[in-house]
Amino acid sequence: MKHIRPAIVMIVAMTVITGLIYPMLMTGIAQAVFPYQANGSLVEKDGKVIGSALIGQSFTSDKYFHGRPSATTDTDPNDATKTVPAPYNAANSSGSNLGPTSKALVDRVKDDAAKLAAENPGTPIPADLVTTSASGLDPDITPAGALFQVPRVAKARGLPADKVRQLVEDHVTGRLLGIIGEPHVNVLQLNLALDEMKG
Amino acid sequence: MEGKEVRFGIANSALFTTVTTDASCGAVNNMHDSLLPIAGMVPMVNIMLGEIIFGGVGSGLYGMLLFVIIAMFVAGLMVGRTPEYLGKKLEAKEVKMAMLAILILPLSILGFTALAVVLPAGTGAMANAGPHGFSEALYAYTSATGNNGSAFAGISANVPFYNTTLGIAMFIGRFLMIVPMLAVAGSLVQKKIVPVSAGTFPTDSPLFVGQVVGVIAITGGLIYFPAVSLGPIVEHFSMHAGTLFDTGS
Repeated sequence: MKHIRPAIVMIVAMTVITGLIYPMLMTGIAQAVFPYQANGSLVEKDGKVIGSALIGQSFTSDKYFHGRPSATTDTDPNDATKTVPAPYNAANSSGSNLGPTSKALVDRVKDDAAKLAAENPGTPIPADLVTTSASGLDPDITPAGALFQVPRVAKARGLPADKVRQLVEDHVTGRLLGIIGEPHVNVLQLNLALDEMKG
Repeated sequence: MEGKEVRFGIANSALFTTVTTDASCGAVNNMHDSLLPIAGMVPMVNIMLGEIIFGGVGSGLYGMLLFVIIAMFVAGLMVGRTPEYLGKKLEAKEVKMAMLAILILPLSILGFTALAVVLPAGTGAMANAGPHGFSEALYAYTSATGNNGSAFAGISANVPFYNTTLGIAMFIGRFLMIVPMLAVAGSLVQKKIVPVSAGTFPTDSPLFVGQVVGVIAITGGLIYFPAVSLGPIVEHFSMHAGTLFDTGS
């Protein structure tokens, strides 16, 4: 009995502290101090939530900047035991996990590179536009990857290329504190700004 | 950039990969499976050596202390004197237990990897063909045994074969390493402290550091180099030769 009582008291106390008090305290602080980040960095347009700044979305129209290729999959609707490619499926984050000597990877990159080369001939293809991210939900592209797409977007929208290029440069986020990470462009926010721009 | 996020880039991905395997962290900010062969070998080797660079979470220094005991033992053999560490004599029992703890890890890592690469149940779950597939299995058992948690995630570990063997590897990697360590601790506690003499090997000298690093490199090299050379090193040279491997699916 001498040992059982403290054990039970400890379980109950720790359950209350770590299971109730701590999460509620943290949620409260987060909501009070960082409400935008704590609620998922949601991006709104005309009062409607259209996405999160942290979760990439699939853009395929020529009029928009495209994100990186995505290796995420979804369950095949016809056969639950199989999966089908579903780019930017936020419910199933994953990378390709293909190694550098994988034939599947090299073939895929060659295919994508050929498509991009046709879109903007003579320009070196930025690596991020032909490689899938770790999460499959990368919200960003490199500044080079965005600038590469400028001619296509400008043509599809009938906008002067210089203005679109300027818009990209305005949306480049630098390194955190000047040293951490790499400069990047958030695709969703760039496309929103693009929609707001009048020719 | 395959398997990496734009905002982290290559440098920060490589840094995090190294740090997460220097301790028993295991979180990742890029997919280790898609790293270049030598880059993928670094986290593997970090875990194989027992995550001694920072020490494991919750286990701390004992991985490194194993190598210190062996280093003192080797130094003692060189001069023909009973080794001592922090004033305690290291005798047959401590050295045997330290060796046991060190050898338990490769037994699990290499043993299970060998099993996985010959059984269809093991090879069938690999996402990459050729040496990279071997690396996936090797990394899986390394991570499970070393209590890390990162993975070459292409491997479909959620199948009965891997669930069972990885589970056993985790058990071995934790308990069969801790028990000999506790035996060493228990045995050292009961010993009297011997006064420092002219024959004591000073543990605050560069010589001692060199001795420990040497023991780690030689022990790790002898145990793991053959396995590592079949995976990342073969893949590295295949990559430069332009050889590609097809899973055929």
